[in-house]
Amino acid sequence: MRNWLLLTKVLMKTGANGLSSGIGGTSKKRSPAVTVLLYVIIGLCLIPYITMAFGLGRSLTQVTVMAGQPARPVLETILFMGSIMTLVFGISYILTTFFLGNDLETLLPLPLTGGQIVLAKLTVVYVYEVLTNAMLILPILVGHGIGAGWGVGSWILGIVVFLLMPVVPLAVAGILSTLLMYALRNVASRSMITTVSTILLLVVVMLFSSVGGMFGGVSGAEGSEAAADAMIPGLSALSRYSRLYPLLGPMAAAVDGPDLLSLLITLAVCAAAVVLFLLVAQAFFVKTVLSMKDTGAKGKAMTAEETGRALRRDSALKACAKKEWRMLYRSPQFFLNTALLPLIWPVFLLLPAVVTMIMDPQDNLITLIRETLPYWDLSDAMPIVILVVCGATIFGASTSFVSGTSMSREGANYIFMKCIPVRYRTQLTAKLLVGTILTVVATTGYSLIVLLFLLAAGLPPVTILFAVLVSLALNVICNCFSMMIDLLMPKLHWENEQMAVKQNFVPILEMLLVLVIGGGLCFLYALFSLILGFDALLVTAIFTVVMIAAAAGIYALAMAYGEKRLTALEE
Amino acid sequence: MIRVQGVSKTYGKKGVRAVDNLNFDIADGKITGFIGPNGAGKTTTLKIITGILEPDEGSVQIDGIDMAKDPIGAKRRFGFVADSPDSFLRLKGIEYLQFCASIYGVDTAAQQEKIRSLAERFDMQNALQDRLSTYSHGMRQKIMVMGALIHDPNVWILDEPLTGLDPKAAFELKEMMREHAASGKSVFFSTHVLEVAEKLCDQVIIIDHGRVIFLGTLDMLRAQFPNEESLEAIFLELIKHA
Ligand SMILES: Nc1ncnc2c1ncn2[C@@H]1O[C@H](COP(=O)(O)OP(=O)(O)OP(=O)(O)O)[C@@H](O)[C@H]1O
Ligand SMILES: [Mg+2]
Repeated sequence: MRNWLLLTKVLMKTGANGLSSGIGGTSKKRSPAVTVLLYVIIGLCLIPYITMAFGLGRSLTQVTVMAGQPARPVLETILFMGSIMTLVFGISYILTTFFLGNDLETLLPLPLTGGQIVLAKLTVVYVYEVLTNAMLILPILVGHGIGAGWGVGSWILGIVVFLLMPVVPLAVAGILSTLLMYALRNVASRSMITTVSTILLLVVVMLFSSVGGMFGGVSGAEGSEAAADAMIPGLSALSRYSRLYPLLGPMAAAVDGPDLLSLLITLAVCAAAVVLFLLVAQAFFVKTVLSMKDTGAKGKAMTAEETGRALRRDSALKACAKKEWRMLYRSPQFFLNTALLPLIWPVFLLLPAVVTMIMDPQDNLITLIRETLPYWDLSDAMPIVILVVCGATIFGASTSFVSGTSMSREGANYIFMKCIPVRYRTQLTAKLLVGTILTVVATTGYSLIVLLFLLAAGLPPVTILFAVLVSLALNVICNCFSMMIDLLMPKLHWENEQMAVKQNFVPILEMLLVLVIGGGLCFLYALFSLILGFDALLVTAIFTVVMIAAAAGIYALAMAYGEKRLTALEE
Repeated sequence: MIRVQGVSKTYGKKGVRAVDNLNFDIADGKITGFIGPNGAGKTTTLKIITGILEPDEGSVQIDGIDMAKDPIGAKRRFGFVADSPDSFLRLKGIEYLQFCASIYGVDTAAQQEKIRSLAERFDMQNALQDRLSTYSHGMRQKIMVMGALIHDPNVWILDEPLTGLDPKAAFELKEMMREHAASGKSVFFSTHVLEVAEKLCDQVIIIDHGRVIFLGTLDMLRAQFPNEESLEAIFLELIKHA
């Protein structure tokens, strides 16, 4: 127990100074105007997010209550979202922390059991998850509490349940990843099996959540089946989610009551999950870690032909971008925690389609599309198409932390940035290039596949042109913006690579900011094209031009700011 | 040529003065050793010279180019080996060298030739296609040295370059430093090993508590302390009074 606390403290400390590090040297100098501006923007964006999340929780609850329905299913839905969110952000973190940290080399020789090491690591992940949830989910939960008119007891238990919410998901993820890694330990190199395991588990989570989404539905108020449910007493109090994840029931009941017995059940289940996790970890963790193989050295001389292929004079930009990309994709800690989500998020969308197809081969989304396709009229679809592409772009870009951690990922290496004869703006452009190409593939690229399909269904080509241009511009805007936030608060002191990207709250902050700013831009477009009903082509053309100009402007700003920051940056 | 004029640096707002009013020239054609106890300010000084840190006061010139006025121009003139070699571990040796060569503008043919000869001298031919993460400490140090020298810089700036090198590599590096100085260019390196300084350096700068307490040839140093028999004894005597 003491060892666990001590170790947790050490592991936290080595990466705790997320928001404050890296700015030391600048304290003597006056902050550039952009720094002030960035803080203002962060504030301006956080307030709408929190207000919106809060409003969502409250109004959803009020509507449900006014319709004479119990509020508990809403609470269960929020808790379900929180649990899923915990997993989406937690899985790559768990796997990279457990199996790739170079701290293992320092920890294994110490007189600690495998269970203690892993429990301490899981605790660090837990703390990070609680803080992330506090940013993303807590406002919704508070909105719900106010909408449902919680008493003091409910508020207290609400906080307890909020703190307990990530325990079971993390313990289960910990168990699954330990077992999976144990099973795969001899199959391939350490990095490879960690990557494979992360993707596998993430897909499982996505499947789980999209199945939940299909059978869930907030109060089950839609559809005849749901209405039937609502009429059966007892069942009506349960959302469909709680059939998928039974602990939701006791968690919600504990808060809703407030009911101490339900809380005890929740506590018992959490404790059981942790104990089970410990048993699994004790049995398998050290064995797995010790038997994993790193990619070995070849130890062979290169032939003249091989060196000939490897050597060529690149421009400074190309050399830096190549280096940046290699350092990103070869480090699973970086890649899985920053680039994986945007690349596989379409799976979220595809899974429900696939699941319906399997469940009902005759009557599903795909057959529906195939049958109605001849009747689609896409000639007037421009505003909707643009809006959907913008939304997808913003969402996809917001889940990428590549540009948004590009400075933090340098860590102690940043001194090289300062002593090589390459202009800071060239080095920053290289970083931006890598991050932007990645989100472009994950947003514009995926959108283009759908758009080309729609082209066959009669979508005017000019719509596709505008959609692609706007999507590209939005990608530049989002990436520049994330990079500036990272430059504002870089985390340069870390020992393990995952600390640069997790144990660092700036990326989550960046995600919210991108969502709010991008959401605002989408709203502006919708306002003029759909709500005010101006000519779609004209609005779209103007919007495209403005977005491209904005992208150019923000790029110039990011370069100017980056140059200032890098000049001022001292450890 | 390195010229350091009136350079001072304090870490943080009101921390200790890491270096205090440094003034010295590193002349061409010489190997200059930089000696001082732990925490004396050697690394700090080298970081200021290489543009990693900005001095609070004073200026640095490399081959007559002012670091503050033309940083890119000044940075092109030197090759720098930092004190910790654990960087770029995800890159392969050859990729790291190609990166260094490209940013210093070494063209393709010259890259081939230079990498071949450096790899041979440091016995690294068999490691070039492996990632730096698989290298031993000394091999990482070697690849960093190779990266810093790949563009044949005029000025070499090395922070404890010999730590971790095996005898052959250490010998080669010292040999290369001698050749470099003999061809009329400058070498400036920090070390804790007094024998190295004694055998290798044409002149030494001794620093303590951020101040230069001696600058000159070793013979001049011995002349100042005629009663002490070894360089070690002189060194200990010197920093006791500083
Ligand atoms: N990043 C930093 N932040 C604050 N103080 C620092 C930092 N780096 C060095 N110092 C302080 O500056 C002084 C000089 O340190 P420096 O690293 O230059 O010494 P050094 O001569 O290179 O020592 P060593 O022989 O151990 O390498 C020391 O007092 C040290 O504590
Ligand atoms: Mg030092």
